Amino acid sequence: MANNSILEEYVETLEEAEIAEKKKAQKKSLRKESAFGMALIAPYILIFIIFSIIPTVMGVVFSFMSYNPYNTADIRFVGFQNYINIFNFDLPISKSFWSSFGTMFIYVAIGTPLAVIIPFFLAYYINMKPPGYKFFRALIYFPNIVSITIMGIIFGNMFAGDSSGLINSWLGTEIHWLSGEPWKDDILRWVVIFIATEWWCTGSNFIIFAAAFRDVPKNLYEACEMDGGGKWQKILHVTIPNIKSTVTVCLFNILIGYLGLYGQVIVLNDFTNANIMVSPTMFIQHYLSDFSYARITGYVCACALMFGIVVMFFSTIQRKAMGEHRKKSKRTEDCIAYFADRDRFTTEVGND
Amino acid sequence: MGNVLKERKQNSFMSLQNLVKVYPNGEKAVYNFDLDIAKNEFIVIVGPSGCGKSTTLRMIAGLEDISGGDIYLESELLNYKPSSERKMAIVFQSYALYPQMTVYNNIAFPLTINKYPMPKENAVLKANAEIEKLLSTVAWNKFIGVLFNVYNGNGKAKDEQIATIFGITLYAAKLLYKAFGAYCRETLESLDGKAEEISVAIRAELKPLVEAENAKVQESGVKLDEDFCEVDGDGNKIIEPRKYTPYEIKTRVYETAEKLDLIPYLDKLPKELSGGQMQRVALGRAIIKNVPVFMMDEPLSNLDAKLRLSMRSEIVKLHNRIGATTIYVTHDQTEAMTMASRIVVMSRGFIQQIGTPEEVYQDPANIFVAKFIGSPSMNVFNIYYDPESGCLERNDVKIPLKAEFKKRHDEFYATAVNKFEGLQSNFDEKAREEILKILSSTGEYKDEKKQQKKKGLIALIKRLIEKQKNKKIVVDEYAYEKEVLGEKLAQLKTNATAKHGLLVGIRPERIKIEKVVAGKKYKGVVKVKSTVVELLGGEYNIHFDLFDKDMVCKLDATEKVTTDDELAVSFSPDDLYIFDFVTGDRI
Amino acid sequence: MKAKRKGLISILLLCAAVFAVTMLAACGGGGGSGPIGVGEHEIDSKWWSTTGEIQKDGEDIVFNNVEIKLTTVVAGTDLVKFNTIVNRFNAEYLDKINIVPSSVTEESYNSQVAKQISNNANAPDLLMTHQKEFKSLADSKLIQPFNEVIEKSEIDLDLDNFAAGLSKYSSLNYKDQMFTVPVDMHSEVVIYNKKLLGDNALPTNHSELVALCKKIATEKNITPIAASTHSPSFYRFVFNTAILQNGGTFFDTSNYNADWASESNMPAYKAAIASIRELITENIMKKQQSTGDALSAFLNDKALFYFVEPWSVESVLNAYSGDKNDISGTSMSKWFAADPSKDCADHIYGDAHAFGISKTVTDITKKAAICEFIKWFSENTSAGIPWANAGHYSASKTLTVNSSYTAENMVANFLTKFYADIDDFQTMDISPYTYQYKSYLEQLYLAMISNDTADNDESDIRAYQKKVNDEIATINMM
Repeated sequence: MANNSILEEYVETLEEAEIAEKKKAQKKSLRKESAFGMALIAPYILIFIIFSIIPTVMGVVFSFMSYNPYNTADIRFVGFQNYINIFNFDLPISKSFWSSFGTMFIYVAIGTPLAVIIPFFLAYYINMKPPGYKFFRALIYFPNIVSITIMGIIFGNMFAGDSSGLINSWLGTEIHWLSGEPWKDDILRWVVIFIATEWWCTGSNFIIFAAAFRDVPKNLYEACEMDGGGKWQKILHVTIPNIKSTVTVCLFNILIGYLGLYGQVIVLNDFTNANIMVSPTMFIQHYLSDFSYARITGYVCACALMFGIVVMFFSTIQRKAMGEHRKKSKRTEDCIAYFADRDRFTTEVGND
Repeated sequence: MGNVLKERKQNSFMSLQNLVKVYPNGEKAVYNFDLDIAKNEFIVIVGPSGCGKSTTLRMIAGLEDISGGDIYLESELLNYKPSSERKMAIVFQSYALYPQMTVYNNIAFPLTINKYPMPKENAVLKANAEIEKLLSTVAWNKFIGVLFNVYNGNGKAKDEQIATIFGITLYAAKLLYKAFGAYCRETLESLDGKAEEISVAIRAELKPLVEAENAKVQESGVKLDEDFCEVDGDGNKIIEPRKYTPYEIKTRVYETAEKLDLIPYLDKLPKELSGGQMQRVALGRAIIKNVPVFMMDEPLSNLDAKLRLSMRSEIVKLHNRIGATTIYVTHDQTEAMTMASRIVVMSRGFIQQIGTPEEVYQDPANIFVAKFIGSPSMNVFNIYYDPESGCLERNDVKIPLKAEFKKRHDEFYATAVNKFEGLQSNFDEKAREEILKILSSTGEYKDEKKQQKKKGLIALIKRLIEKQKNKKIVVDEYAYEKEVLGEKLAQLKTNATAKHGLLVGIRPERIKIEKVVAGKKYKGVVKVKSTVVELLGGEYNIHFDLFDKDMVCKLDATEKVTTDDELAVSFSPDDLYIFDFVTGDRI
Repeated sequence: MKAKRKGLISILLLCAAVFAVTMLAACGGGGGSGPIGVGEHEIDSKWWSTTGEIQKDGEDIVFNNVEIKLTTVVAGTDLVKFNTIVNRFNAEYLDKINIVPSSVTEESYNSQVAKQISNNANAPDLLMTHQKEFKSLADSKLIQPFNEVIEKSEIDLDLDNFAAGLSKYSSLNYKDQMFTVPVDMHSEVVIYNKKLLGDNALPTNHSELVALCKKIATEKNITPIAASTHSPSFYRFVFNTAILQNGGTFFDTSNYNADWASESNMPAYKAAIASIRELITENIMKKQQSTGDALSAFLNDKALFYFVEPWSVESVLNAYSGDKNDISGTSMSKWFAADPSKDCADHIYGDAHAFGISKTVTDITKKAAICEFIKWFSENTSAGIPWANAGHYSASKTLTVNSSYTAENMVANFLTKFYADIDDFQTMDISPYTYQYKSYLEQLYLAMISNDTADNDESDIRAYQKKVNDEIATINMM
């Protein structure tokens, strides 16, 4: 009896040992795999930590302090004072910050639909392969190659305010295209900025849309035609739903890009409004880079954080709005009820 | 336009006259497709890949431009009409369902975006007539009971419910609903015996509306018939295109879904459905349009074998039920044989034969049709014909033929030689097409022998040099075809007189085969050994070599057969199909 | 694997938390100092240090291959001359002291230098920038005073040897401290064409200027004043000069705020812009003429007076095709004053360069070498003369009385003419917000000069004053 139990125990321990061995071997192979994976992504993770995570955390920490990068003795912890100051609209700098939001939102509200609609139609027409379409395709994409500074130089020279600007000398006028104050008289400046941005950005969105159009199955167009759909119905029921995911991604990129409006407003301006902050990025960059404003670095960090929160908010809204939301369709129930109803007359009522 | 064509156009339901399709790069895909279709026919166009059947279908549907020929539907020319006006519906191989719409919306789609010609009904008067009828014929208690239940039920669209239950128009239901409304606050019992009161009340509600409507009709001078539809001077209903109302769409979609067993799937998106279900949705989308012509482009190719079998019968049943004319394209000859009322066999753009399944099976017009139709396909072998003995001979096998065969044979070759000589003397485009047609039936490849401009730098240089020498290089486009013509003509001439080879075919089931039993005497058989034995369940497909060809025959599986067994094979000369290998036609 | 990833994330957060705590700890020290107030202060604790000993060989200090990094705000054509001067010094002091100059433009000078010094990364040893910029550098504890090194090295670098008007700013309001040594003075200057002037007298006040110009304009059918009114050198100096000449001030010394719209200043500012505007409306000066056009007008004898940067005078002389002796300089004194009888009507506004020592310099010998260079610069004609040709009038009294210096053509016919009385030369008073005053004054000028009438002047002045004060309040927010 005792022998049996000892034997049983022995067998049990053997089994346990086997299981433990198996687990060890499994862990080892997993570890090898994961070690290799870690090694591959280590460079990126390192750079990401050093150049993205740590500065972000530092920025957040500084926003709770009064931080002077040149005068370390002047640093002290101030808690939420910076944030209170941001929302204190009496302070002129806070007013400037929030008004820069205003101009930026208008820009985004007008620019984002433009940046989607224009490439959409261009891609649609190129997709019909008119003669010379390859040439036009290259031509449309071409402006995207240059950098934003080059774009600024080109358009800055074209629309320069004095009579030496190319447009002005061609038309013989002296229109100050790029000057003016926001909300007062700088409509022309924004028109120029929109033209320049469209010229520059259309290419990349166009390529994406053109590829998306090609992926729409041809059969669907034929089915729609057989069902009686005209050109607009085809666009509405076949083209748009099939490229919806592409449009969503595109829209997201455009939105984020436009919220960070900086390049265009920095290069396309006049000396009269060079100091007017028309976008939060411009605001942050201006106040962070200057020695004179070193003392308010903490406040500017808080501004940057606020800006980041706003951008996150917008991107979340956009994702929710473009996400798949299915209306609850209750057709099956309805259909069953329908057939029940149809028979109701004979069963419940009946003819005499 | 020739009289014959005109007659055809007027007499047949749908007339396809000499359809030709030439692609922009010069390649011809369909040559002279000529077919008359009667109402309610199930036409199957069958052929191997690339034979032009899908192209033909798309031409009829309007998805491809017609390069030549005409299409008439009920004497109306369809060539230049857009697809939506051709009164056709099509089911694609890939179903082509709108991925963002539910099944319900997919089926409803054709009704939502199109206007359909319908008679103009006067809603008020019709509703009045219906309600009168209802009030006079219905059993009161149950009537009130139903109305009461509907009223106090918690369904949403109560007027639609009433319309469904009583089978009246929505307008009538709305009126009824409104009229009955006052009474439904009370309990069911209290409504007992109020029948008179209620019907009086309902009629009273209706009266002013009806009178107003009648006055309006009188004023406008519009004439109405007994169905309250507007008619013109001759008493014909005025047909106007209008869109279906949501209620009408709903009823139609539900009816269609019921026919196709799709009710549980009405809320699903196409990506959530299986192949068969998607197939049925595509069918539903087609049949809801109520058009006279259906077209299907290999709809069953994407389904698995078992589903294919069941869907085959479904489609045929559907066809019979809705009574539409169907044009069906497939590469599977089984489908063609089982479903069609008439089969059109195509190869390389040419029609090879048109006929009922029996005709095509029992009476193939040429070697291509013979080999294509039938599973397993017809056994075809080469054999010599001796005009003196009137027998088919090969090695030591002699098959005597009937006397009338010789007559047929001689006539056949005489006409063939004449025809070819005629072609040779006047070689034009039509002649070329004839040659291509013959090549398509015999199955010979034209590309290998085609005289191409030699490519390559050296050849180019050579050509340039010869150009310099002023040697004119004449590229005769018909050179190749003429060459072929010449060869064939020579062959035909030989065949007409001398001993020559023939292609002979016999269907597998017509070969008599039995296992060789030791000791039994066999007469008039050939003893062979089987190479492959396929058990299908109830019968065997037995392969054996004869006349240098792999032949197949069928045998009941009552006894087991293996490859070691010796078999005695024989067949009757009457079961033979004899083809000329030059033209491919049957003698 | 999931556990590993989670582990990584927690390490990350730990790093960040450690960092944060360190930063907080670093500031735990002070209750923090607020902005440096107005008025004079004492230095409680030194933020610089001194190491090493000075070795002397008799009277002279022993310099053994001491390298000095000099960052200067001078650029363009000036820089070429400056480098020549530095090379001369290096040649003279071969193996002893070597100056390595580098140039940073004015807009980014403070930011860049501040970064370098505070991080002690490639920090310069010797700074040379405009006098008015040094206050904010000192307030940020980035420069150190000269007192100690002058005492220990006994190099004779005495502020009494420099123009009083400039050396009075040297303490930067730190009691008894000497932070800067002045180098030179420069402003917008006026040169004229003697031929076109003819027998007429040079104008000594505004009405004479206008009368003379009108006369010449009708006689010779030209626009007598060639000036690029929208170029920085014009509006930085001429407008400010006009303000000073009308008795205006740039800021309230009691609180550093701009007081342009105050009762006393508003009329001065209005008069200043009015006097410049009058030149345009009277058609004796073109509005928004480009620099190229102005230059070519003067070179072709189509302008009587030419407003130009002093460092371009030499090249204008070289480019002039006629007799160079026909061109001479004159002073702007009293030209924009509404009331020429006031004392302030003589004032001319300009910039002055100055030297300062970075706080990163610790070795006493190095500091002494710096003083040696500065002394050499302020006393030697091999420095002074090229620098004068670059348009900068020396602030050193030693040079300005030196005969070979005064004999130099540029000095004799131009610099001394530009600044009749050295004591009338004004630069901006001590304030840490000189950048703000400067940039908004410029914008105010551009806004006002673009209007042809004086209707909006008052509101403009008020608006821009508010902007400056808002910014100052912002900087002092914390």
